[in-house]
Amino acid sequence: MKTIRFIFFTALIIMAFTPPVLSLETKAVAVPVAEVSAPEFQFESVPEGTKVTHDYIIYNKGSEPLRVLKVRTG
Amino acid sequence: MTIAVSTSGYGGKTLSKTIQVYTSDPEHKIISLKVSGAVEKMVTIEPETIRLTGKSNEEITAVVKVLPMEKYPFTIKSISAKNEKILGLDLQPPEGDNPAWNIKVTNKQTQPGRYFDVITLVTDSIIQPKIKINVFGNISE
Repeated sequence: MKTIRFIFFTALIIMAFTPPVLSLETKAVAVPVAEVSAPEFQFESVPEGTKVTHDYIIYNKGSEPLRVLKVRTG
Repeated sequence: MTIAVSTSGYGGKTLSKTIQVYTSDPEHKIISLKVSGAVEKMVTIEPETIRLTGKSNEEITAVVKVLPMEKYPFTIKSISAKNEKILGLDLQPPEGDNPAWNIKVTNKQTQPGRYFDVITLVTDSIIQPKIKINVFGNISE
């Protein structure tokens, strides 16, 4: 009887200190990831009245579609 | 994303603008884009703003000098005021070695009070086909 009790308590202690078994697959959260390679643009000297245009490229490195919600200028 | 920036009004200054892009990326909710650069003066206008101040029974005039920069020459094709009833305009082209155009602006408003008008110069410049000059009038009895 003493042996059974010893085995039972030993097993209980081992179970108490053993971390729960985790799934081997780490669940990645699907999010968009925005990335701009050149966020600053400096143009060459231009005469007043010239319309300066420039293309900024925003990459999406994430797994979900990236949405542009709003654009503000200042 | 294409941006277009007008450089009008920045002659002789450095233009600097910031564009804030709000995205659905939880880590980069706002992306700041910056555009900057030097803007050269194409023309010197003296004075930049015309003020016509005086009494209604007096002749109130001002002369504006429009000097195209040597690098960006142009000629003035026509001149007009937003309200021709208020302002009289006389354009004098450059004479001799003086490359400046002179515009004589005359007040025609007889009633006392304040007003605001805009003179538009139409040029043959591709870069700046129109130049605007603000006019403030203050006529007293």
